Amino acid sequence: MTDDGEEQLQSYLDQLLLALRGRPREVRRLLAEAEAHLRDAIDAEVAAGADRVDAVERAVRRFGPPSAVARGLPRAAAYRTLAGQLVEAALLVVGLLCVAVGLAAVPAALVGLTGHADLVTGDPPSVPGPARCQYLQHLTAAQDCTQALSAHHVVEVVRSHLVVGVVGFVVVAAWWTLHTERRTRPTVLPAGFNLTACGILLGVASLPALVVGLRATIAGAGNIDGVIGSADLMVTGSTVLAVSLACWAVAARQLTRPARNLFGQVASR
Amino acid sequence: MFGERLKGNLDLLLLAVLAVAPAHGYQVLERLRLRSDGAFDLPEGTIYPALHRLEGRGWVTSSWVRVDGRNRRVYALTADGRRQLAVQRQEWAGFTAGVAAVLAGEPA
Repeated sequence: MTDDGEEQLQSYLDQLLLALRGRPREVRRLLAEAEAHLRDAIDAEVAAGADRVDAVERAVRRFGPPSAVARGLPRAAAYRTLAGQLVEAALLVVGLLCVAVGLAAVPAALVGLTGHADLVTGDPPSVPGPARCQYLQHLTAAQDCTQALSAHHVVEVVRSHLVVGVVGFVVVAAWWTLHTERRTRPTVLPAGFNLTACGILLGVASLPALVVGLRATIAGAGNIDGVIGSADLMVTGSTVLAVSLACWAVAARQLTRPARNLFGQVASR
Repeated sequence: MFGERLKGNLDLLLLAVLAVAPAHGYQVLERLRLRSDGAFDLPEGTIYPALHRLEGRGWVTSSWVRVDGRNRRVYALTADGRRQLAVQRQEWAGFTAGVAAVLAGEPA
């Protein structure tokens, strides 16, 4: 290639592209304007008798360092992008947490229906005996007042799980809508941020439920303070942990995609 | 020369230059250079983000036009831009009169 300064011009435009932060449309527009401006400046210098390579060098120098040009773009756009991405991540974390709690309805119901309702829930010891017996007449399968009360509360617990799960699906749907709408926009946070945040936060959230549930199980207590079932805590914690691990798996797949693509290209040669 | 001082007043200068006639970025810069007798030497590329900012505020409007075989974004002042120019001109006149009076040692 003959050295007519074109390489230097292209190299400068590449650096400018890398320095610019903003909406893709705005970046493309500024880059097109910059190229037209630089070519005008070079043409003017060459018309005045300058060597083309020198003309390119002077035009690029006068245009300014890419970082100086990029600094002029409104910063508010970057903050808006960051805020949008954080809202998106928060919606996904909350949504998946609620979905996981909702999914725990299935194992909770199974435990309750197989005659271990007291592992799912119960009533505080302060509830008087006659109050415990008011459900016995409706739940004929129960053998005593305590069993009848536990069976009644299992239905409530399962229903609560399901309500939280439905809320979770709505929040995840809101996340998906926002995510789809923002897909073509520039990002500030690194790829895989949402899923990594979910993996960490859901993993952390699952631990207290698992630890408390496990300790109560080891201690032989069916429920904690007579109300919270140890099995319910365990299945809820396990479901949240499972969703956390699923997030890690998808995040790992997303983060290693460039490397896998590279290995795939090398292997196909 | 005057690069740093220019930054705070770039909007006013761009509006004033565009008040003459619509222009693309390179023409804007040439007019600035010509009318300031070469006194303004800010990095040329910085006028584009400034022009985009003015457009974002509704003071200028722009469109792609093909000039001499090259696509150029041509900027023109809007009615809001003209009003803004008048306001900024007045403020600038008050400011420079104050500075001049202080420097001359007389009350404004």
